[in-house]
Order: sequence, then structure tokens, then C-alpha cells
Amino acid sequence: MTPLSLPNYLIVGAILFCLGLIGFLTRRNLIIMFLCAEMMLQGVAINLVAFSRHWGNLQGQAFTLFIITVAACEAAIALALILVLFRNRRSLDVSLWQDLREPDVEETNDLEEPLPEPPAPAPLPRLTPAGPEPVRSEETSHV
Amino acid sequence: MTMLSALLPPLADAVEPTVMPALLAGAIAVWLLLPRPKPFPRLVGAAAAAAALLFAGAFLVHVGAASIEGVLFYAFSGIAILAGGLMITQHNPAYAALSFTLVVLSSCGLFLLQAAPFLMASTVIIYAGAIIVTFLFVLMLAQWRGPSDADDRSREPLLATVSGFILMGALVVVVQLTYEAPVLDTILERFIPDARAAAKKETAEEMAAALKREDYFTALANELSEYEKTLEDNQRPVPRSLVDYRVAIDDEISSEWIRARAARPPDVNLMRHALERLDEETNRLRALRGSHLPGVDVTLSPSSGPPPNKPPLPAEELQWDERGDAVLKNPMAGTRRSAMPAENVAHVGRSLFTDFLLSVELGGVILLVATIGAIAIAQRGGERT
Repeated sequence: MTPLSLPNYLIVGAILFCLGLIGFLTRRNLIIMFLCAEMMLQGVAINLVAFSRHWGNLQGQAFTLFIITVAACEAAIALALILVLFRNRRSLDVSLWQDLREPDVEETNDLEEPLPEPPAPAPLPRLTPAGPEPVRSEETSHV
Repeated sequence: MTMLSALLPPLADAVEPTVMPALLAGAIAVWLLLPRPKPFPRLVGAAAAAAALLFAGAFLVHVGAASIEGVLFYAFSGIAILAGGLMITQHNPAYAALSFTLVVLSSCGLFLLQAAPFLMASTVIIYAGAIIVTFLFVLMLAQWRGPSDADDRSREPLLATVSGFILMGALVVVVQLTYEAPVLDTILERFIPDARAAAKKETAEEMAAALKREDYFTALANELSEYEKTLEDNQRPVPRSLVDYRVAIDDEISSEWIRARAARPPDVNLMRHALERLDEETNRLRALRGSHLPGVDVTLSPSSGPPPNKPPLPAEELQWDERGDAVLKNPMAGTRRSAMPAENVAHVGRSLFTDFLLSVELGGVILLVATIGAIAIAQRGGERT
């Protein structure tokens, strides 16, 4: 086998692409899903630059520059969309938006095991009152 | 693995036997490490990941001449794959963003190894410097309490892992079948070192003796045609580069050698030229095997460098120094990998503004549209004008 050549770089690009694919399919946090999509783009960029080196011309590098450009645009728009979605539901969980699915597709229900209970917060200290309670009149109007 | 060999035609010996254990160990590691409400012990997942990397190293690493390029390549790609695995299995999204930064930085190291310094710098600045920082800001604003419910769960971990690793296996196998042909390698390794040694000899008798057999070229051509026949029998495509190589040996190089040998006195320079030509053709075969190029009648522009469908740099005339050793004027002659221009930024700029001018303009339009779109989407409802 040749010591260090094109196939090595192609395999690295393929591994990064597939890891990004698994992350995108699996994770529920919108931001992490988007970072996994960006990792798929990085794998493709490694492939293109390796091919550019192999053939000794700059076409692969020019293509990668355009990939970076489009990834930046995609990041801007995706973040704007994520912000809008977050404002609506106050959460970055993508499974809260399942009613956007097609009508004939079943709802995806992950095994919603209850999360382990977080430790109960320490009780706040009770302070002794500092003086007599002031007299308050009854509320007569209710707005 | 026998199972894999039974599924593919018998030439599946091209696939290294450590592919399957590496993929299995990697799949088990990723499945174990994906976030769950009650996660598996991290140590087991980490051990499986280490095993996967060891197996992958066994089939990617070729112990030969240890070069600085090799060390750097394995360091960068190991860090990239580790950080990629960390990123998809992290519980805390801020740590995942930091792992992705590590992925981008190591892939920039790989860019630098592939003679792309401008790409390295621009990726570090734009990706790691702008995009990831923006993500971290949004994360900070949206999840300032730390990891939420959604980060503790993963959707269909088993199905996703299995399908992802099946895709990875398919890609790795295809790359190996396309670029590594052990049968062809064994044929070439039996013959070509003798030719290289013979080219260094002084006299005709020493050269002929170094080749170790009288019918050297005929034997090589026969072995290659047998290999071609095996490919045809198994309904595998016969690469055109292989046929060209065999024809070049059979017709031109062997006749040149025989003519030179039969001359009285034997023409040493012509014999040496035949051997050098064999070496050059072998390099060309190794570089072209598995390629799909547009035909030579398609004219590609040379602004981005040498067009890939033209023949590689021609072998310059051989020079002979005072000791009578043959010296190639251009050491890169005959190899497919022509030198990349040293002033990478200048040449990338020239290439972008000649070959890819339309794409540059369209990229500018996309950027403008994305800016306007992001502002328009993220406006609060009340402030919409």
C-alpha cells in the first residue's frame, strides 16, 4: 500500500461525515443538530482539498471556499430561525415541534424515562420578623 | 472477514481485514456514549472508542518510512475523529461546541498538509472564529441554566448508529476498492524494484542480470493480462489505465529494450531509458487507478492549475552526469502529483476570478440575501415595519 496518499484523507473525511450524520439524527438540541450538520460539511471539505492536492490544481480549494461561504450564510439563517423557535416555546428541544410533521406520520415518542431527580434545593432560612405587622386596609376595588 | 468476502466477488481481498472490527467497535462506542437519562458507564464507552481507534489505526497506518507528514496526519486526523465522537455524545452543549472547535482546528491542520494555507487561515477565521462563537453566544442566551432536558435524551440511538456506521463501512470499502489493489500491488512489487535497481547499473550485462529473468517484460505483461482476465471473469470493470500500462509495456518498452540489447555494442542509454519509462508508467498507473476523468478532448481551463485530464508532466530528456548516472531534469516528472503553487493565495485569487467568477458573484448574492433574511426573521413581531 502507498504510505500516505489520497485514500487516507478520503477515509478521514468519510468518518467525519458519518459521525456528523449520526449526531444530526440523534440529538434533540437544535444547536447541536446544527453543529453536526456543520461537521458533515467539514468532512466534505477535507475530501475536496485532498482531491485538489491529488490532481495538483486549485479547483477543489475554490469549491471549499464556496462551501465555507454557504455554511456561513446557513449559520446566520439557522440561528435566526432557532431564535424565533426558542421565543415561542422557551426551549431548544426539537421534539416540541412535532406537530409540524406530515399528517400520516406517527408522532415520535422517545422513551420518555423520567430524568433522575435533581437534588432538592436547600431550604431558605427563616428570619424572625423585625417588628409589628403594619395595618393594611381591605382591598375594595379589583381591576 | 469471510462473511464480507462471500458477499463481494473474490477480489474482496482489497478490503483490509481490520475494517469490520474497527467499525463494530466504533458503533458500540458511539451507541454506549450517546446521552441517556441513565447513561451507561462512560469508561466502557471510552474503552470501546479506544479499541475502535486502535483497529482503525491498524488499517490506516502503514509502518514504513516515518515522515513528518505522516506523524502530523495521524495526529490531526486522530484528534479530529476523537473530537467528532466527543461532540455527538456530549451531554453539555457548550462542551459540544468546544469539541467542534477542535474538529475544525484539526481539519485546518489537514488542509495545511494538503498545501492549502489560505483555506486553513480562512476556515480558522470564519468557522472557528465567527460561526462557532456565534453559536456559543446563542447557547449562552438560550440555555444559561446549563444543559436542559433535551440534552439528556437521544432519539433512536441504535437505529441512527447502525445506519451511520453502515454508511461509513460502505464509504470505506469503496475507497479501498478503488484506490488499493493488493493483487496489482503484489504483481508490481515482484517486478518493479528489479527494474529500479537495474536502471542504476553501469553496463548492459549488469542491467540484464539485475532484472533477474530474461523475459522480464513479457512475464510482467502476461501477469497483467491474467489480472485483467480475472477482473473480466468477475464482471469487474477493467481500468483503462491498466490496459494502457500493459500495452505500453508490451509494445513500446519491451521492443525498445530488445532493440537496445541486440545492438552491437548494446546501447546502455537506451536500455536505461526503457527502464526509466517503465518506472514513469508505473507511477502514472498508481496515480490514475480508479479515476474518472472527462475525456482529453474536453478542454479545461488552466487558470486553476494543470487540468486533470491532460497527461502528467512529460518526462524530460534524461541527463547524464559525469559518472554516467541518469538524472532526471525534473524530479516531479512522471508522477501525477505536480507541485502546487507556493503562492497559494495569489493563485487561489487568480483561479477564483477567472474560472469561478460567476460563482463568486453568486456567492456574494447569497451572502447579501442571508444577511437580509436573518435580520428579517429575527425581528420581534412588534417591531416589524
